[in-house]
Amino acid sequence: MTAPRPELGELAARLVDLDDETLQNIVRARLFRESVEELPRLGRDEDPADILVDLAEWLRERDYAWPQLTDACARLAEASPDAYRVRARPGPLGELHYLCARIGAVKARHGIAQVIRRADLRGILLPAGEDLQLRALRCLTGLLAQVTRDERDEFLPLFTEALEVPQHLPIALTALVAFDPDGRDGYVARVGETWPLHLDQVLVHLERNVALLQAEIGAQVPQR
Amino acid sequence: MSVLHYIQDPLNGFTAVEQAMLRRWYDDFDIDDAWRLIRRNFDRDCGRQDIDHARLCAYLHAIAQKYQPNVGDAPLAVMDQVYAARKNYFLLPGQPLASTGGNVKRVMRADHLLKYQLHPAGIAVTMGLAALVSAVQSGMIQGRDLDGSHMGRADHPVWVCPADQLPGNADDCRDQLGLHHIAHGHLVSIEYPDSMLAGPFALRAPTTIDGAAGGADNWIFGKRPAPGGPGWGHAVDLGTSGPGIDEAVHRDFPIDTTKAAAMTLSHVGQISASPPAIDYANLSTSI
Repeated sequence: MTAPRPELGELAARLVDLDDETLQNIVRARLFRESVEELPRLGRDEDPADILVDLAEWLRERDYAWPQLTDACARLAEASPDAYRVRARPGPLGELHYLCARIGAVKARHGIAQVIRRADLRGILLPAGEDLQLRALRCLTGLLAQVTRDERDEFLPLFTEALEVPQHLPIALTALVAFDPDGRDGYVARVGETWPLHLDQVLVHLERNVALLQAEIGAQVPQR
Repeated sequence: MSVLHYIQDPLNGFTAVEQAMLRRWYDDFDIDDAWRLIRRNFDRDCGRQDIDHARLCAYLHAIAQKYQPNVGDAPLAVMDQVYAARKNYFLLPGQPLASTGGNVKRVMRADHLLKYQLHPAGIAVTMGLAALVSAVQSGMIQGRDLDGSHMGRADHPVWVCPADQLPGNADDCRDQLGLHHIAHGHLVSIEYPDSMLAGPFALRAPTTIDGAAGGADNWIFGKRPAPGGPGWGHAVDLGTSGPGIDEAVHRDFPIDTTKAAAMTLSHVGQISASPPAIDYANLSTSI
């Protein structure tokens, strides 16, 4: 039978008071596109995280932070993923990182960073062609805009290493220059030495990207 | 022409056993108006020239072989099963459409633009929607930034509408495209010339199989009446329960520098209201 799709308010009432374990199970099932009683079926071109992103935003507009969701997602992100399972089906992990980023689950930053560092997760493509580690970098970058400077600095070596991968250059250089503006010349020089043919392309939008990211830093209250 | 007549045509090669099983599948849609709409879509695909009939026959043969009545949402589950088993073959079975000489638009959530189309551009996924909208409106982020990304997902049809038919606000756009799952956020569009879509990437008539590609019952799809085709389909207008904007489908493709330069990003608007409830009974009489 085809049931009408519940409104966001109704969904919020169902979910906001769920305990952490139940919420983790719901999120995990949704990310794997499994049927979840508490959530409507996926619509056309709807991604698993969309309803949760919308719910979190809807609640935020009503001054409700929904910490249980950010905590549940952070815990899911902390789990060390099995490389074989991720290679077979990378979508759910990429979608988890995306969800963490969109809802501001800053506690997920270490789990996401681990995925970036793992050599056995290199070169895995998500369904739309983005590589898993690039997705993780883009998510981590944004989450780090929401923490203190000291907490960001801990991750600078990770972004410096990411400069070694040409597909990761734009976001890695953006993050480094935005988080460590004094180091700009050094980072650009490093790209020029390592990937000279890519440098001009990366520099074209660097100032714009840094400005956009710095605007996110400016807009956040550090360390929720 | 209904499915039941279609499968009786000796030229389509359905055995008596297959016909019996397909009749059972067909009858099992008689649960509610939403399911009856899906069944009627198949009837219309049988009667129109939108679809490659060799593939429609293959699809129905597979349904007949795999159908298990009385198991969950059986008529829909078997559709998903058949499609998943041979995605490459059943993807985009519609006949190609001639270029209109104009542009098409693909509508998406603004955060999907960020997620899928801006990953080569060095932009973090956490960018706020207000900032993203402002960047699109000012041209700070534009079509060229899609270079290196991919239009659509592999093994899924990309749905587009004629650029000049898209309404100017997000609620109307959502409603007239039948996007009943979108209740919040912003919509953006990517516009590109349909001359970009040629050969294997040509625009194609949308079919019931396309409508079920992401899951047999997760989409409201309404076929144009038979006879006719190949031609553009139309979405379902959630507000009127009638025909919505014209739509067609094409294959996913990589966006290179040349294609990106020909693409235009626009902010359609912010969703301000929940989608209307779907009146399937009314839909069945007005489409």
